[in-house]
Amino acid sequence: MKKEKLLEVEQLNIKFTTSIGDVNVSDDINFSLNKGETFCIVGESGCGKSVVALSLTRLLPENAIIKGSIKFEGFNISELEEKEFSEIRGRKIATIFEQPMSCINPVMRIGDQIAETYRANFNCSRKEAKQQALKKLEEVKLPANRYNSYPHELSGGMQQRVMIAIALACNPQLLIADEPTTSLDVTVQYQILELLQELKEKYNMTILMITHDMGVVHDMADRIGVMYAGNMMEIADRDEFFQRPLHPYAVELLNVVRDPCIYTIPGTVPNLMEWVPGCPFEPRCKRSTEACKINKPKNIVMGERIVRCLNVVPN
Amino acid sequence: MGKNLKVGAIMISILAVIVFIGPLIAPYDPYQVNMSVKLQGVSASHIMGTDQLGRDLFSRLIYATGTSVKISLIVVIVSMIIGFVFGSIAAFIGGAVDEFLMRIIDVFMAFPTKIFTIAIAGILGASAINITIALIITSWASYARMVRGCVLTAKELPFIDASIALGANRGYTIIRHVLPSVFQPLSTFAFQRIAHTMMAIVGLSFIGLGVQPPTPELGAMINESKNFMTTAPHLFIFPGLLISYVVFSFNILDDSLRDYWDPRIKSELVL
Amino acid sequence: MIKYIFRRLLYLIPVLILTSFLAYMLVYLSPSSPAQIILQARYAGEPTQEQIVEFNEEYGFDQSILVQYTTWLKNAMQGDLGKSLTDGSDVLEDFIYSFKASAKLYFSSQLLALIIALPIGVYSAFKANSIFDRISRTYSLVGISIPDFWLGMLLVYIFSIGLNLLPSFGYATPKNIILPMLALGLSSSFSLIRIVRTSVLEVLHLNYIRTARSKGLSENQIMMKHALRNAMIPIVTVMGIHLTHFIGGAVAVESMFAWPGLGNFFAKAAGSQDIPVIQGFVLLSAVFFIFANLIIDIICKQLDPRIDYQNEGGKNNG
Repeated sequence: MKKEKLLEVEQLNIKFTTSIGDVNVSDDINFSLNKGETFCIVGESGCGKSVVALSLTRLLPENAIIKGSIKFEGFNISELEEKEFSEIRGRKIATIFEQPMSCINPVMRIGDQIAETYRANFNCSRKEAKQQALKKLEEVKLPANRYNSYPHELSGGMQQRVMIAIALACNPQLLIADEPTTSLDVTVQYQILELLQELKEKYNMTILMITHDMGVVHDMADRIGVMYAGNMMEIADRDEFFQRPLHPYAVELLNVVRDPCIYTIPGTVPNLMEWVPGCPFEPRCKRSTEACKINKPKNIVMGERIVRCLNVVPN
Repeated sequence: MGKNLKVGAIMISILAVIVFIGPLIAPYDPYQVNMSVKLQGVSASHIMGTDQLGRDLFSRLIYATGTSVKISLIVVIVSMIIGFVFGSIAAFIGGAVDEFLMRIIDVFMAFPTKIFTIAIAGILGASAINITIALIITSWASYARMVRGCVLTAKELPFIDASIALGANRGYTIIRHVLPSVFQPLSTFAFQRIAHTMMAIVGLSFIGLGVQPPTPELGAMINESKNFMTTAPHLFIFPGLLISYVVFSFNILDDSLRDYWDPRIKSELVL
Repeated sequence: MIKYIFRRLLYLIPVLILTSFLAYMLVYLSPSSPAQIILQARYAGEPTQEQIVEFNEEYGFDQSILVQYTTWLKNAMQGDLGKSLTDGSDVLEDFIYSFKASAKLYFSSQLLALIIALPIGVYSAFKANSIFDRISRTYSLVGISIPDFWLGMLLVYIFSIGLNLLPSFGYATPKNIILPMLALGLSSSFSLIRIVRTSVLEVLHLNYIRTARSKGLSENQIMMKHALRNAMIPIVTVMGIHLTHFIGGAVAVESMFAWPGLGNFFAKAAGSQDIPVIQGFVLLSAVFFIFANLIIDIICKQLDPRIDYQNEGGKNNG
């Protein structure tokens, strides 16, 4: 059965121009999202995963240069004018961020912030928007009397629920969740993930989740993309990935998760400002060869799996 | 180094030359009255003209700039020292001493600055020294409050406790860690205040409560020129331009230094 | 809220007492005694020893300072601040009259400043580092370096002397207010542009602006509903502080245009060492200043729900 694709990203290149030089944070990234699945992009801090996520809805600062094609429901949205694009943003593709406290307007009542999303995207009366907001509050399991609360009156977990309610106000097809649980307590993390899973099933939503937490990946993902230094190293089904990772970096990552006390990946994350001719993981890789230093690995497609490596881990 | 910083540095250097070397090269004695050439416009012998008493405006301006700038520097430095002493006493001793000093600071800050300055300058009698005293009385409190805040924050920093816990001498820790974290904000603040103080001095002299004639001072000179606006506009235009120049050079330097410390908000000017 | 205001008022009592004491004691800064100053003003000459003793007895200056102060404060509480030495007018009446004149000039000029600065500052922040932003930054930095009274003189030189359009001084006709208002308004607008720009720019960097964008709001909606509302908090604070500065803040401009405002009146009194006026004005303006600051604090709390009322003094909130 061929799965229907909701989002297809091809040849995505993102570069930041700064006063001290350019930074490449996305190097020819390709991936796609099937309808109704949860796709997790995982990687260490600074690998560019959040930037990739934010670039999809053009939320990067002005010094970011984005190239490549982004197809949403088979329609190329990367060339849309800003005005047309804002009709997709919020309505069809919504985003939730990490650190909900800083991402919600501190001087606006939370209910109004939820209603605002709905009103911005659908022409409706204030009353209707308020109804929708109350419904969403209920869905994220916040009592209706919280409608008039201000963000600082809520706990971190409740704030993230508000963030989710804001994002889901218009029942979007795609939810981009950028480290949604990172700043939360472990117990609260679990509740938030459960809530996301529940709402996903209710609305048959597709989720693109960005995280560095392998536990979250294991719980949530249908498919996984591993990023390293602006490169998508491996894309695989969850089960296949956890059973048999193909990329040497993925192998190392899983080793760290299984034995966090003993195991570390030697070396450090590379500086994205320095251009390297070969594979960016080569200096830390156990399977590196001379060729890895010179040639940039190409994507190897094996059915549903994609690996960017010259020396794929054998069985 | 940003463009603004360079412009500011050059402007301040020129100002320093005017203040410190200017009197040596001034073509005339600023007090020398010569009624036969009064209220003359720009000419070869008097490059900025003469005033109502025939004194050379250019020479007077050189001395006047020195007066205004020197008074503002004295006011800022003395207030800074007083503020530093009282602010750090309040913060280090704490308790009742802190409470008492803070109430006094509150009272000093409860007055509208200008009214307070004018009152003191008026009661002491208008003169260069008295206006300096008046401005110090009204400005030390804000320095003290700032220093107190900085010291208290610095004392709370984890590494202070850590270094004392690790056996470092308390006094040494304060000198080595607490005081430096006060100096940077304090000097930035003081630098900002130079332009403000300069404005206050020329304003007070303009209303006749500051430096008194015949001593050359920019605000006082503009005050004297009021009656000759129609016949000799150069008498108020040149000193005003000079005030703006001085204040602008401090402002642009302050601005670019702030950008330097906080590069988040970049702000290049068109120059 | 009411509890908070009550606590602030309670806290103000010692400040007010100390302030009034300081206002009264100002006279003793002078090298000459009050009797000398007052008698000198009355008889235009050095007073004799007998005159001084007589005067001190008559006005209670022979009593201890504390007694003098309490008498003065008791009278002040009943609205009697004494009479001016120069023209015998009632100090409180003088204060009210000049307060009104100052308020008229200052509020109109601040309104003008706001009308100029708000659009320029907001647009400057929105188009940070554009040509417009650079020009407006240069313009405002040059502007804040120009003394307000000198700006007033330039306006007089152009509009009164050059074009003969507007009166250069006075209070009587509505036309009189135009030039001083322009001088003060323009002067304040320069610093206000900078404040507006910085405030908006800081807000624009915050995460919730990104959230607003992610919700599908248009740039205009983001600006009006999220950026401006939040940037208004510091702007209102600064505007409020500016407004309280009209006591004396406009002294040079008032003096330049012979505007019968507080600053002008007070500067004259200070120049002639008119003791009752100095004491009375310092006391009244300090009281006004203190309460105005309290009101600004309360307004800011209304604008910003994050500030909690329980916190002492309300100044150390994060």
